[in-house]
Amino acid sequence: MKMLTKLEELILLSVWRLGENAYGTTVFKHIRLITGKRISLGGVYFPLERLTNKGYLSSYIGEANEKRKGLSKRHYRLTAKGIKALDEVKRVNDIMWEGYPDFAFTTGKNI
Amino acid sequence: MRFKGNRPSRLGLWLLTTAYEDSEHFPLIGDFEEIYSEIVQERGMFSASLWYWGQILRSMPSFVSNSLYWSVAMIKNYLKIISRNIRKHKGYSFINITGLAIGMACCLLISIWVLDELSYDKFHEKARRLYRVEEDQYYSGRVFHVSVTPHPLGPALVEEIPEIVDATRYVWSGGLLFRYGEKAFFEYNVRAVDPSFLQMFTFPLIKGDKDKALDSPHSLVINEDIAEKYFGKQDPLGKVITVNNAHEFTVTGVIKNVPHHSILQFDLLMPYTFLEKIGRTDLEFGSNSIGTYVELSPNAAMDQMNAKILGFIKAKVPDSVTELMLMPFTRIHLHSYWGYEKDPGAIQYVYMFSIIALFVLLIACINFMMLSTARSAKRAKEVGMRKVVGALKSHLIRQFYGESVVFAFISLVVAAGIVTAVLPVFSQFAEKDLSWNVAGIGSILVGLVGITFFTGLIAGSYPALFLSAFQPVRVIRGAIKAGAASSWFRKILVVVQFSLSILLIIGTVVVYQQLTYMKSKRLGWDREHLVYIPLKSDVKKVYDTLKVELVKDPHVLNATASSELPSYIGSNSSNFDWEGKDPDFRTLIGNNPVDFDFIETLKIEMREGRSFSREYSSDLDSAFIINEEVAKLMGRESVVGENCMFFGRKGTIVGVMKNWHYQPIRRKIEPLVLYINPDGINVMLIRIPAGNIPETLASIENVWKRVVPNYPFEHYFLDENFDEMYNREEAIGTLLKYFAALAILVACLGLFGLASFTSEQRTKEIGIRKILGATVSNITVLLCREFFLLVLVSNLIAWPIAYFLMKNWLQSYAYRTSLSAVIFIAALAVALAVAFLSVSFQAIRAATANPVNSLRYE
Repeated sequence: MKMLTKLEELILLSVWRLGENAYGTTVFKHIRLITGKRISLGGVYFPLERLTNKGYLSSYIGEANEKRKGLSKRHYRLTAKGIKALDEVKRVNDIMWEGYPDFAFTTGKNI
Repeated sequence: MRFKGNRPSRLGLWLLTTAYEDSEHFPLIGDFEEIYSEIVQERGMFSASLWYWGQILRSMPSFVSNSLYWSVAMIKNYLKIISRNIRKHKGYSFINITGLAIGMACCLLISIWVLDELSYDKFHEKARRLYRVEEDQYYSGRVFHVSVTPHPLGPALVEEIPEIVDATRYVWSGGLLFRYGEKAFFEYNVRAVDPSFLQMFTFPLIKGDKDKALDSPHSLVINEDIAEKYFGKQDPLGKVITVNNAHEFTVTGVIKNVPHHSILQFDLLMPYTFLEKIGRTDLEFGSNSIGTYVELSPNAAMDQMNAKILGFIKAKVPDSVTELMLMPFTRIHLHSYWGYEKDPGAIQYVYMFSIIALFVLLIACINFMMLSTARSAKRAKEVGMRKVVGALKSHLIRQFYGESVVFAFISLVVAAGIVTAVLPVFSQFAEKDLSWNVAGIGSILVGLVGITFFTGLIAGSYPALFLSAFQPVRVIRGAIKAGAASSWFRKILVVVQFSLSILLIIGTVVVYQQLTYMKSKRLGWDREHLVYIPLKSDVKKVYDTLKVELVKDPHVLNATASSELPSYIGSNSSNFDWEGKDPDFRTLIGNNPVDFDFIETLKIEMREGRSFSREYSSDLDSAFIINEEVAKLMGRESVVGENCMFFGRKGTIVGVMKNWHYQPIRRKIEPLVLYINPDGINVMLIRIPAGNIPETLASIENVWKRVVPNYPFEHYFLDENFDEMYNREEAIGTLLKYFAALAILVACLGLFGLASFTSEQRTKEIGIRKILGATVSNITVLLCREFFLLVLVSNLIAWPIAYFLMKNWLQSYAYRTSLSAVIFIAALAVALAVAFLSVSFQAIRAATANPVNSLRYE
């Protein structure tokens, strides 16, 4: 299986975290909130679609509201394949990060 | 769609929708709208718009990369389909690609040949200003065109005509014996030229100074090969070579070997001043024997110059009949005349081959289009499927065009490979040193790439434009029978293709027949088993002894001598008079001094009178033998015994020979006079028996060594010399044969592919016919009939065209083969046989197939 990119990993995790509320806007806001980076909406949207095409996510059309000028939402949900991919990422990350000390209180220079 | 309330700009919306055309874009726009309206509520309209535009701009890279991602995916898919197609239809793809590749390779090879022909003599820096001086001589209303000129002409032209800035004489020298130390060889490619020769022509010197190399009468310029031959690794400059055991020459320059695309071919150059020193020049303006080349000033126009020099000779010699003209130097190779008359020259071969190249390419392109069209008809279902899953018409057009262009370019690459591989062999056939590196190849390649692209487009047009318009439902349901509409198109293509092939067959056969005819035509004398030995000045002195000794040898049947080789007697004169000749009537008559036994040794037949004989003492200085042409000029019943005069030599005509070819057969037999002159002979001719030639030669050599010990024995066979004269024709005949064969092969490939396509299309029909009782032969005939009809039609079209073209071509030969109906019928037979071979295989396969297999699935 191909390794996920960092962005894809973040998107999949956001979709998982957001659960039923995962659609373009929320995923975009969530990633912006967590990373603090000024990403673009398009930059989230295309990976979402690509991940759907690759089978990591499934999507369904949700409700519309006044704010959206009557345009419906596209909700995303993790598929089994998506979960497996995240498991794999976690497994690799856990091994890679294993024993890495928390340097939150030290400066880089003293390592 | 209309948006209410706070609306992001229309432009931004448009950008979003276009960038995102390929899928459903409402959720995305919805998301934009959602955040936009949130920001409007929190921070107002202005920041919201700012945010909106910022987002769009920052999203652009993702839009672009996204659309690229999809087009790459589609191209990958197209390529995959192409490679699948190639693998699935190996036969078709092979035929299609090789057919076009062979056609292109032929076209490229011919282009290289043609470009090489066109490149002759263009390498001289001053090429555009160089001219050869030629003459028209008028005798009794007939014009004789010659390219030999008087000795003093060159210097006189430079002196009297300001536009002629330089001139050189070019004197052909016979075999000379060159000796350096132990090494002694006869050299035949020796020319005597003026010092200006090296300035006018670009024959670069590797060693020596081109301004001074030919200044001293005893200087000598040699080429690399000669330098290697005589001096090996030593420095040739300053070495002394002895010529004919009498004259010492110092090597003053070494030139590069003369390239093959130069009409001036020589190995050694000696100064013209040497000829003056030994008195071998001719100060008369009336006799013509050497070449004269001139260089014009840069702004001189050829037409004006021609007018200026026209009467140059007449001004010097009042009763002259000679007019001068200039022949542009670079045109000599292709446009100079063959005989006295203005013949088409070698340019006709260039035209001929260019036409063949075009034909072959056309046949191959047609083939490609035909097969592509036929095969694409099978892809209607694929088109349907693609449309069902969302392909637009434009996608399909792109795909089919792309596909056939890719195919065409694969062929081009294969063709380039074939040419590279075949070029050495081709050079051998063409008897030239050919390479990719020929002037003008760039434009040919560009042209070919253009043609490839164009062929690909045309071939792809049918599926791209016609199939892509199908309604998927109807295609998949089977309501549209693809291919029917294109069958007329294909029929026309087959007819065009076969007409071209038949033209080529007929053309090749006629050209080949003419060449064979020329080679095998009864010459009127026997050139087999005839040895000739060049006689140098010293050897001439002992010629009589040599002849007596040789004839004593049982290995020698007969021996004689002649001024020129009987295969090419070039010298002629207007100074032959006979009793009762109209004093105003003048014409050029060929003449050749010979020894006794000439008629007997050559086995020339006499029409009346006798040959020269020692029994008549007067034969030595007052007997003439003429050919039938002279007798015709004299216009009398019997001319034997008539008095006549040649260059002041009075005598009688003792015999009339039947006409025999003393020049290449493409020339008409002209009048010829033979007379005995022991001083005029240059070559000894020996008739030997047919068997055991090595022994005979050894025996002759023994005699030679006894009589002339200080000259090497050097002998040649006349039939070899004869064959050499036809080298060019021979090479052209061979090339023609192969190209015609390839053209036909390509056409066959096409027919084969087409036949297999049609029989495949009619599988079910054949199955039903068989069930209803059709026999194998019935079905074979059914399948072949259509193609046979097409081939017949092609013949009917090609015959008249071929007839007129070839009749025209043959007209340029004085002696020509007849254009018999057999050739045309043979062409028909060949075309039918070829068509039968390529079609019947498929037809029989289809006819013998078990009908169950073809019908089972419905």
